[in-house]
Formats: sequence, structure tokens, C-alpha cells
Amino acid sequence: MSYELKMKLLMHLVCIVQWGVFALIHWEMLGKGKWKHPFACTVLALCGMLVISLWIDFGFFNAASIAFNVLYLLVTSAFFGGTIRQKLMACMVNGVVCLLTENTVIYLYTYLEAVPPAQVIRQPLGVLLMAAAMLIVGGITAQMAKHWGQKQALEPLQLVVAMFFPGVVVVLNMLLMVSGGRFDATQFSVLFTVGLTVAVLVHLLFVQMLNEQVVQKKDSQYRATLEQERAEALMESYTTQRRLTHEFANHLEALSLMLQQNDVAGARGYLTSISKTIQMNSAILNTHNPLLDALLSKKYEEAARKGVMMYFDLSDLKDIPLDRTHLVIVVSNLLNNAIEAAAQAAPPEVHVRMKKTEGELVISVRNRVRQNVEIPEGQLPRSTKREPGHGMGLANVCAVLEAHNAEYTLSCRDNWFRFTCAFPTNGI
Amino acid sequence: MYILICDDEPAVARQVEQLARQHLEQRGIPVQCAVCTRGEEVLARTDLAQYQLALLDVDLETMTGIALGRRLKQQNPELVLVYISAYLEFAPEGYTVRAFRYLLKRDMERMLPSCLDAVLAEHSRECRTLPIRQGRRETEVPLDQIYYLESDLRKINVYGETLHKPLCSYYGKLTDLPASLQEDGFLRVGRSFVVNMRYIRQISNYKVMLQNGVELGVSRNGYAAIRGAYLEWKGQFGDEL
Repeated sequence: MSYELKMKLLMHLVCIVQWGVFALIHWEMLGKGKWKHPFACTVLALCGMLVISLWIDFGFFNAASIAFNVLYLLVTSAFFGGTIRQKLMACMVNGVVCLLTENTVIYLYTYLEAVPPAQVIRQPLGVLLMAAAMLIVGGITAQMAKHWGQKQALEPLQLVVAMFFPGVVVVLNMLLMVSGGRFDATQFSVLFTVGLTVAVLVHLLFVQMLNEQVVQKKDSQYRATLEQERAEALMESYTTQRRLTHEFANHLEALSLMLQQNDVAGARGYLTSISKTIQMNSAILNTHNPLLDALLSKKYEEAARKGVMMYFDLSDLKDIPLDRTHLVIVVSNLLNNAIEAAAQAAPPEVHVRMKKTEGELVISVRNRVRQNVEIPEGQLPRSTKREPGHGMGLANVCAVLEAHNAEYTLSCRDNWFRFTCAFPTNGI
Repeated sequence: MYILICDDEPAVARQVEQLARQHLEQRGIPVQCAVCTRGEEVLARTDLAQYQLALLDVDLETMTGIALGRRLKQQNPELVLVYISAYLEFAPEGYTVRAFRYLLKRDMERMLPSCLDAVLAEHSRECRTLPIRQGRRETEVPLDQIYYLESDLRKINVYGETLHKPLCSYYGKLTDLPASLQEDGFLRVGRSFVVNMRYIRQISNYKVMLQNGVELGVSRNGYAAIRGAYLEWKGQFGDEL
């Protein structure tokens, strides 16, 4: 193997690491999509890129190589999940990581070793430093992207504004990369490159802080909604009870009058009739769990108002492995979604089943849907609502399930959406 | 359709009859109703075997609708039970009978027609048997007798409760089994086995344990999907054995 070929292969080490890092960040930001084996597809694309690059010899850090990499980023993002907006965001993050890291290493190396920028890629130490830096920064970014994906709470417009500055930096870095090879590195160009990197890092820190604030705000809003839901359910129950207590006085008076007149048979008949009336007027069901009864009764009324028929099949649920907050989160969110979807379907039906066995509490919510929903890999489907803050409910259901080590499954076929979960009862 | 109606309030019983008759006759289904106001009156009937649907009140005067339903099921296991009640009492002992639906009296007018449609759909499904062709002979094995099916070279062994002794064997492939088996609670758990989920005791450690003590290996690739399918089945039918 000639020296030239060896050097060419060594220089491509940076490309291979860079393309690998792209895939890693794509995975953390986008997850699995329709493609069964996204990494295998990415490896194939990587091999294809390598062959083309070795064959055609674009050179390094020029307009052609940048365009080639952008194309690679866009193509490989298709192998992963996410929406188009998320894919573009992942490509942008990859671009920021790649350009900032490589330019920073190139200019620092240039400054310290006193070689022109275009020569860095031709020096084994320069190549290894660049590859190592890409690997480290890429790994850290992938981890941060994973964390960010779980906590991301910014609205699309906020995200676009937040990414504007890194976008400008990407363009500046591209210009720097393309034009940099022609000039020797000056103290100014080194400071400019490092300064841009630091500025982006500080900017990202600010975005992170803003995101934390939004998360806290949404969280407290959500908790307030939960409390309101619980309070409303209990209030409805309480109001009914008060009305019944008021009616009791009238019933007792009537009974007392009948007994004064020695009309025992009449009193007995009256007692039978009012006992049924009382049942009809209180909560519609009894599971020995007052909060659950109040919640389910409220949801039943809500469903009825929307023309949705809700069927229950429950058991004695006095002792269940969920505390009140978790119970409200799971039941309210699942039933809200089910009622909303069923209201648009024909016939509008929701079936709720909660059965406690020796080892587990199984909750099943089935509802009709107008058309089948695609569910990637048994995950909770994405929210279809566009208003700010929506989607927190499903994420919170997931958090409760994870906290209880509960198993769950979702499916949607034959115009039925089914959600089933099993909470271990741990001997309750 | 033969329908039994029992409610201690004659007016409600008549209303149920009227609603059911009106809805089914609109669909061209002739209806024969027997309306009773006491559980004993129902049990005294000699023609119980011919009824397909029972619309029962839960709170009867002399016996509970649940006890009545259980007695009726003993005499006619194919009978579909629908409870219509003022209040759904799931505690403390709950409704321990395999009912098709529980409806609230106050929403009867709204919900009974849809419930009757669901009962009709249930009835229209084919009788739950597995058709088997052995040479020129065709037989049918009731699905509730089948614990699992095993693919053994070119044959399929159909196993029931008895260990290691197939109910029958025939030439065929698991892939040729009717697709409706899945709807009837059968699940493929590997290359060689299709299991009736109602007889699964547990799925763990890549094994399916059946109630008769049989253990079957589960493919590692499909393990999560198999657990998910079983969980979904439990959610819908779990305690209805």
C-alpha cells in the first residue's frame, strides 16, 4: 500500500468517526422510526460514502465535502424516527457539533504547531486529535441530547428562535472552514473560532435554563389541573351527598307520618322505593375506593355529555398499589384520551376494566377510534393536539408506570385503540 | 332471538322489552321475549336452554341478579348476560359472573341498542371450533378444549388438558391455521407452538407455563411482543375463566 493511500485512509478516519457520531446523535434525538434496522442502514450508507469519497476524492474541509456531509446527514436522518422538524433539528445539532469541534481543533493545532490549517488533516497527530475530539464531544452531545429529549419542553417557535444563533455559527464555521485553508492561522482566527465555540456553549446553557423554567411552569400547571380534577370529582360527589342529606329529612318526615298512622306496609313500600332513588342519585358505581368512584363517575358524566358510551367492568379496588396522585394521573389521562378519541368514532364506545388479582392490578382501557393510529414499537402515541403544554399527560402516565415497574402495552387495530397495563401489587 | 328479561319493577321490565324488541325488529330479527319480575319465576321455566340473551336487573327482591345469572349460566353456558342496574356495585364481592355488559338504568335507552348490536356481532361470529381435516374426514375441535398446538415436522399436534397426549394430530402447518384463532385468544409463542391464552398461568424467563404444568419455550426475539399480547388479552378477558 502506497504512502499516499495510507494517508488517504488515515484522513478518512476523521470522516468515519464523524459519520458514526452523526448516527449516535440521530439515534438519541430521533429514536427508532419505520426502518427496522436503522444502524445497519447507516453503516451501509457510511460504507457507500467512504467508497464514493475514496473514489472521487472530494478533498477535505471544502464546499464539496461540506455539501456531501449535509447530504449524508439528511439521508441518514430518514433511517431514524421523529418528525421532519425533529430530523432537521438533529441535523443542525450534528452540524454544530461537527463544525465547532473540527474548527476548534484545527485552529488550536495550527496555532500551537505553526502549520497552515489545510495541513492539519495531513498530519497523523492532527487526524488522531480531531477523531478523538469528535468522539468525546459527540459522545457527550449524544448523552445530553438523550437527557434533553426527556426534558424538552420548549414550544416549536421557541426552539426555532433558540437554534437561530447556533445556525448562524454553523454558517460562519462553514465559511471559516472553506476559506481557512487558504490563509495561515492568525491569533484573530484562533480567537474567533474558540470564541464562537464558547458563545454557542453559553447560549446552550441559557436555553437549558429557559427549558428548566418552562418544565417547572408546565409541571406546576399540570399539578394544578390534577388537583382541580380531583377536587371537582370529589365536589360533585359531595354536592350529591348534600342533596341526598337534604332529601333524607323529607323522606324521614314522610316515613314518620306513615308510621304515626300505623301504615307499616306503606312505610315499607316507601322505604324500598327511596332506597333505589338514593342509589340512582349518588355515584354511579362502587369499588370501595371513593376517589376512584368519584373520578369514574365524573368521567362517565363527561363521556355521556359528549355522546360517548362508557362501560365498566371493575372489581373491589379498595387496596391498590397506586397513591391518590398517581391514580388520578393514570385514570384521568387515559380516560380523557379515550373519551376524546371515541367521541369522533362510530359507535362512540369506551370500555374500562380494572381487575385486581393476587399479583397485579390490571387496567385496560379500550376505545373506538375513527381511524387506526400508528404506534411505533409499543410507545405512547404522540399528541395530536397543537396547543401549548399538551402531551404532558401521556408523559406523566409513562412516568407513573415506570415508577411502579408496571408493564404496559398499546395497540390499535380494527378501529379499536387498546391500552393495558399491569401494576405489581406486592402483596397488597 | 330469544330474550329473557327479569326486573322486579314491571314498568322497567316492559320498557326493556319494548326497547329490545323495537331495535332488533328494525334489523329484521324476530324476537321472542319472556318477561319476569322474580328470579324464581325465571328459574321455573322449562325452556331456558333456548334463550340466547338475558337482560337482568341486579337488585331483585328475593334473589340477586348475579345469583340468578350464575344459575342460568349453569343451565345454558352459551347465554349472554347483560345486567341493567340503577347502580354498579363492584365491591366488596363484586359481580362474580361472566357478564357481557353492565348498563345503568338511567342510560338504558341510549346504551341498550348499541349493546344489542354488540351481542348480535358476538353471535354472528363462527362457532368457536378448530376445523381439522384428516384425510377425507373433517372434524371440529372446540377451542376451549385446546391448550396448545405444536408443529411437529409436517404434522400439527393438538393438545388439551392431558399431558403429552394430543387430542388429535393432522397434517398441516401453523401458518395455515385460521386467522380468526388470534381473535379467539390464541397466540404464537415460537416457531413450533400456538397457545390458548386462557390456559396460560405465567410467562417468565422466556417460558410459557400452562395451567396443566406444561412449559413451552418462547423465542427471545419475540418475547416482549408475546408478553404484550398476553397482557392485552388479560386486560380484556383476564378473569373470565
